[in-house]
Amino acid sequence: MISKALVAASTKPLILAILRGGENYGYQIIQRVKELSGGDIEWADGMLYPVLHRLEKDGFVSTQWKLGDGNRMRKYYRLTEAGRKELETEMKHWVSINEVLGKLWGPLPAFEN
Amino acid sequence: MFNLETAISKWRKQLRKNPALEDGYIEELESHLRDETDKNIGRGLGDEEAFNDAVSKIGRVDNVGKEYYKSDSTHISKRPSWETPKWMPVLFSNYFKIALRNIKKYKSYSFINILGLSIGMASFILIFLFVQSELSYDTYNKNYNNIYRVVGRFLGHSHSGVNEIALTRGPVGPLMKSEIPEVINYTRISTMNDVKIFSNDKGFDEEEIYFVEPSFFDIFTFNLVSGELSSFSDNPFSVIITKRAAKKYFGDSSPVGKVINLKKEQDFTVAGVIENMPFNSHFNMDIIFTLDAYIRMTREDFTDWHSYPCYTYVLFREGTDYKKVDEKLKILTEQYAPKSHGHASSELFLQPIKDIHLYSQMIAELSTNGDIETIYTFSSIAILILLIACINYMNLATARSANRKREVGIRKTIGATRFQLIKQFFSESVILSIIALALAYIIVLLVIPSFNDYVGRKISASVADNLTLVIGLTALIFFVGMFAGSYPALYLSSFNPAKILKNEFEGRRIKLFLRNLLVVLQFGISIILIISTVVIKGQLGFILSSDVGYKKDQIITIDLYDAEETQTLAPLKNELMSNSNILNVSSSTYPPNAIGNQTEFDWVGKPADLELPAYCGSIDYNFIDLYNIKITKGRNFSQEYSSDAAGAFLINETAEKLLSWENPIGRELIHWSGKKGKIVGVMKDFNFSPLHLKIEPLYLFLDPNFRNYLLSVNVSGLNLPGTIKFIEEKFNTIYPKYPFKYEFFDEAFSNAYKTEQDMGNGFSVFSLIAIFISCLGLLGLASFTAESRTKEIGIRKVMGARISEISYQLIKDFIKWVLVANIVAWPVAYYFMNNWLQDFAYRSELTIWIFLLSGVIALGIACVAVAYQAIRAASANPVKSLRYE
Repeated sequence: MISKALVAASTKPLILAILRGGENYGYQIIQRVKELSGGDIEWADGMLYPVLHRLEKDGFVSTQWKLGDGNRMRKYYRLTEAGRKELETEMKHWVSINEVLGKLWGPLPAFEN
Repeated sequence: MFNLETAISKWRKQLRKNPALEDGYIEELESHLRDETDKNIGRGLGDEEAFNDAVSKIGRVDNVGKEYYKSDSTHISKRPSWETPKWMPVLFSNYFKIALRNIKKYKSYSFINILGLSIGMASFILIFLFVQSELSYDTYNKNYNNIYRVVGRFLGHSHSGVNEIALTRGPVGPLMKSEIPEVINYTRISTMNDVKIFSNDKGFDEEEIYFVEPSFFDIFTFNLVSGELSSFSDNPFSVIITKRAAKKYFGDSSPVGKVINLKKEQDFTVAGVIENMPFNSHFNMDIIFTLDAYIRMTREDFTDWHSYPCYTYVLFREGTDYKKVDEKLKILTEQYAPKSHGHASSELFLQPIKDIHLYSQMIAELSTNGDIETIYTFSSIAILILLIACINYMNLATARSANRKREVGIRKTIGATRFQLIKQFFSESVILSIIALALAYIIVLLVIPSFNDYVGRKISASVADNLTLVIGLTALIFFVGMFAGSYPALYLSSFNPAKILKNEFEGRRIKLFLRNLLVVLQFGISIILIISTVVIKGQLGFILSSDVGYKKDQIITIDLYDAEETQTLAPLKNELMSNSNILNVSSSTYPPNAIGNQTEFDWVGKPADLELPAYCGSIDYNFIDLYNIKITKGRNFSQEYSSDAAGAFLINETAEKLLSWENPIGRELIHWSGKKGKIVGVMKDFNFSPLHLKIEPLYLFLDPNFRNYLLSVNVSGLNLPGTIKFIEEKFNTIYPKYPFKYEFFDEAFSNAYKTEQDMGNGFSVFSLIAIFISCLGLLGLASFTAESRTKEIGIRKVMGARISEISYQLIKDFIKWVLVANIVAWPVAYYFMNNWLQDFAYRSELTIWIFLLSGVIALGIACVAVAYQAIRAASANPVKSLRYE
């Protein structure tokens, strides 16, 4: 189980990355995350929406209400130009953290003394 | 039947309650919920299950709302405005203000509350200080954990009473140091009582002086102010004195090198001056001579295994298990101590010095010790009184709750949580307890000088050097605040605001029940204390008025001193008899109420294995007459029989039974000194020990040459001051070296029961306080009841009820509960007092009258407290009370 803090920190790049593949609505986004993580990342579904709201306020996503199948109103989220840039920075950050960790977790270097 | 659409619309409504969730958010969430539900149904779940699962997956709506709020709000504080803050300092000043307003507004209640609490607290603080000082005894010594006193226990005899002795034989100390490796050092102390010490021919009376070995100053902790300890160890005729003694003997001039004279026999040079000893020490030395000097002056043999000339203290290596040393000591005693009937007549054991004050009641203690039982008793009383005071607060606060329920209702409506209200009421009770504590502390400061006089201690109430006291007082504030405030806080905060404001108020029955229960508890405790007081005082009265078998009044006893003075006794007696106000004079080893010498009956031809324990004393020809002791068989000692002068015996009836000789008169006995004599008479049994003990076998021996320590003078009662002055003059001419010390025998007799008297006085004071605080509470409750029933009383009066009837109505309730309290208190009091009385071989009966009397006292006081309010309420003009509103 991934810790709460880590999940919270990674929510934003996760969502932005999913949206890179095209516009989507909340329920689908969550399904996608669950699919990809194989259930390792788990959050209360409801908590996604305030995050999406936050991203919208920050201008990273734009939204549109659409009538989906089953005659159901859905709010679709699409990545904006600012969002794309934000995702790139996020990616850089995560990659550099990943690299550092990768180096540390590689085979142990012999200590000289 | 579950309907998905209704369920969803209900759920939606639920979400609307959250102020952060706007319509769009809710719609989006609903769409999510529907998708999830559909998916679940697709998985084969029923509608209801599918819906519930989806709801639970969405998670707590509150948190979702809070997250939305965070992104929407521009405030620094991320707390939604509709949630109560965790920390609202602004409210504290409001609580404080409301508390002060309430104190001002309800003056009489506040007065009762604060007075009750502060008296309760003051008693508690006093007892706390007392207990603290009792527990601190001898801990001023740096080594106190490793210092032990060696004491002895007599074996073999079946004497009743104390069989432990604080004194030891001379060789014990040196022997322990050489035989027991754990012993680093030892010191021996001897004392002399009632001597005169001279400085430049001016004589001072000293009650007790001490002779110590130089090692004394290595073992115990003292501060030398001036002089040298080395000159004390080098010169046997040197002396160390305290600052107090230095002032007394030499005024302001420097005492070191100056000379004082002991008993006009021996000069001593002052080697050094030490600080006055702390009061919490089991010996209180002012003048300390060398043990060498004692040995030279008394010619006491400190290598002898038969006498008990000194106290022995030993210092152990750090970390020594004294129980192990105790074992070794017992083995040593077996080897060296004198034997009787083939086994050791006594054994030695060790006593940690910090235990001496509270756990030791031996023969020849260096000072009157305290008692751990007293500590327990009075600690419990302190807690009970505090409890009574707290109950007052609880009862009055809940009784007044009617006045405050609107406040609670409005606070809750505006948004106060229950927790906030609880905080508010707790801070109120803490504020009140701080005020009460301030008052209590003032009371303590005022009372402590007389308290000190009374308990004979020097307790200081200063908080400056007493960290425990500061912590204790802070704890007291919070304990009282929390405990007294707990019930009102929890109770008042539980009101339902809608019901209060609509004036539908429930819960009266539970409240009344609890309140009455608390009143029963208060009065129960008070009644137990009253019964205890009555029983203790009753037992004291029983002791003082019971026929102990000798005369007590119009007798003055005077202390006599050394053996070599015996020859001068006859001239003194003759001189005294020349005064017409002196009716009789007698000398003896003991007064008739405290004959303490334990021995055995012995006669020529007694079987060796027969042990017949006895007490004995030595008297002269006049003793039996002077104390008016009855002779049941035979005769008193008499100068007409010349054989008496060589030695003669009187035995008591119990001894007669023990010996069970057909005719004891004329039989020969052997005194413990080896002298022989015939039994000339049998005395009627008299209480020669305190009434705690049964009358044991006793013999009195006539030995005109034996040293008798006590002179008894029977005076006529006319011109008493003149007679005493006459005795003093004669005494001083014959014994210029000794202080004149006299006592009235009846006072000495009752002083033997000082523990019981102190206990009785303590109980009377504290039961008075308890009943006073309880009545304060009752008074408050009564005035509250009367107030809340003003209209009822008005209507009753209009209908023709008389004042007495209404008063009775009002009083009745309270009386009922005081009666119940009696029934609860009696068995408890019986249990404790019956236990206490078991200590006395001769005791007063625990009759039902004691309980009835105490009950009536409590009831009477309660009635008076309530009656005033009741009558006042009942005689109020009904027109006024009915027009009110």
